[in-house]
Amino acid sequence: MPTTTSTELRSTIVRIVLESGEGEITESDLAAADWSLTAVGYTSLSYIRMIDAVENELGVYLDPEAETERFATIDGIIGLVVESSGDGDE
Amino acid sequence: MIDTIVSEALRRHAPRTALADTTRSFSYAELDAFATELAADLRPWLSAGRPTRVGLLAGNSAEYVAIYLALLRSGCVPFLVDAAATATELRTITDDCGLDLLVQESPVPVLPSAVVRGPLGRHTVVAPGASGPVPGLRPDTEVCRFTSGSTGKPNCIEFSGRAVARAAVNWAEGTGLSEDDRIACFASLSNGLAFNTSLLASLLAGSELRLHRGLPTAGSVVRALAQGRATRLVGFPALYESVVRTAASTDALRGLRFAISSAAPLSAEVGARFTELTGVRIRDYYGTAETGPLTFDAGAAGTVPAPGLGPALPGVSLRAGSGPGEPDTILVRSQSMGSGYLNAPGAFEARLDEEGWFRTGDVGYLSGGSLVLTGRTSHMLNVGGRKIDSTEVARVLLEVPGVADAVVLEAPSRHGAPMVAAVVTGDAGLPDPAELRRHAAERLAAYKVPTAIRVVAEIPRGTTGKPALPRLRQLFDPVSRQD
Repeated sequence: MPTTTSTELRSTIVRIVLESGEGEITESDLAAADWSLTAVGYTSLSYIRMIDAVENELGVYLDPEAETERFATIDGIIGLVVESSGDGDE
Repeated sequence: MIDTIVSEALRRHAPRTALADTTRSFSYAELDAFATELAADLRPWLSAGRPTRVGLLAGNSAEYVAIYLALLRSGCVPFLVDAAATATELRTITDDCGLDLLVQESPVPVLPSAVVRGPLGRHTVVAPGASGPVPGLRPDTEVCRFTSGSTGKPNCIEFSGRAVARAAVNWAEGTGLSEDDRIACFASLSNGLAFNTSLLASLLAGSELRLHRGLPTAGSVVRALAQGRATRLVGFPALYESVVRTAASTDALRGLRFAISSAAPLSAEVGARFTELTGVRIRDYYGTAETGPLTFDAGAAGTVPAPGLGPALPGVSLRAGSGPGEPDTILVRSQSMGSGYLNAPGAFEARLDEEGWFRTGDVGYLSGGSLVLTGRTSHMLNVGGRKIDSTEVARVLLEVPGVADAVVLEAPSRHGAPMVAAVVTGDAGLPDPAELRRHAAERLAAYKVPTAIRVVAEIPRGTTGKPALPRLRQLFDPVSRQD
């Protein structure tokens, strides 16, 4: 994964999450929903699109069978990306 | 009856691999022994003197299949419940169908009032405490499944053992499924796509069934295929869209001979691009919950697909319009037909014409024997291959104080894919769309919850009083959006 600061990573994830949603979601909607994707109407199609984009852009693999609840928040996704890129470096 | 033919297949294919998930695998002989062991564990909880009704509420796993077989072996009637069901939906199903037991993944009961009976393998058996009158099962019913329904709540379809067996045998025969096949199944086993193409069909044919769960992203599909060397891939359109969107590494897909998707929603572009990437053509599965699988397009890989979904499978008769200019209601007779709705007496019979043909709710025509779909007569939505009863969703929205009217429809999302959309009217107390969605999400499985909601002063209606769907759909058009 290219070197990024945690702020850059967060804004990249937020951008991908907003772009991947099926409905119209804004960053303020997400903030008002405590950064929960489920609360802003994220569908399974949106999740698939989001995971595809994260994998493509950041060069990581996110296993959708593991710890599915972590995909439901921005912090959860950031955690998964960080862990996954750590694995890749070893 | 199902137990008899499966047991015979388990013995016939004994040394071969029957099942695998990401944590374990079973040969046919091991599956046989495991199902016997689970059947013995179930014995203390069974009802005396009548078949025990057991809801199976779980995601895909090798153990799911073993439990299904153990239930059949114990003389129970398995009710295959969508693992995405909310507690509210599960309570309705339990009471409507008089379920005696539920088998679930979590050790904590999904229904708050249920009482834990004990473990069954890695699953847990609970007594849900059904209330209300218990509808009588038909004497030959061996399995029950659910459909989104046409009555505003899920309908429970009763199947005889013969119908379930014929669905599997006819699918295996019509599609050439054999013991050389390894099926990678990403669809949930409670859903018709997997139930009819994978579960029993695989066991009877001596194939290897590899079960996957979670979201079917291209990354996970490629890994699964690289590991399992599958010859058949079974999944919803979202899986194929993901593979095409990411132009996934195709080396892993080289061993594929068949790719099966549920009918209609997959776009021609996605199909063509998938074939370009893999050399494999996606075959549309067409069937309905009530009738079982109906058609199959057996055209060779790489050939230009004929129009439509293919001719009728063995044991299936179809009636439809005679050409593109004259589409008509699709009528079906099949050996795999259900017997009736357990929880909606008369509603199944109302869909049969005087000669016993079943009205599928789809409209289309036959072109050289191949069935072409052109639309639907019912108010069912088809989003990502999952059927949703628009009335059920609208009814949940109408429960919210302040909502005066609600219409639920299919509309294109900003990515062009179909999504569940709702248009509502209300008074000053109408909550905002986020609150409406929260209310729906607490009561409905996630895939039924409207992705986008528009508030209007009045629902536009045609002269017959029906909502003007094209005008409502425009409200979700990106150009006409107000926000």
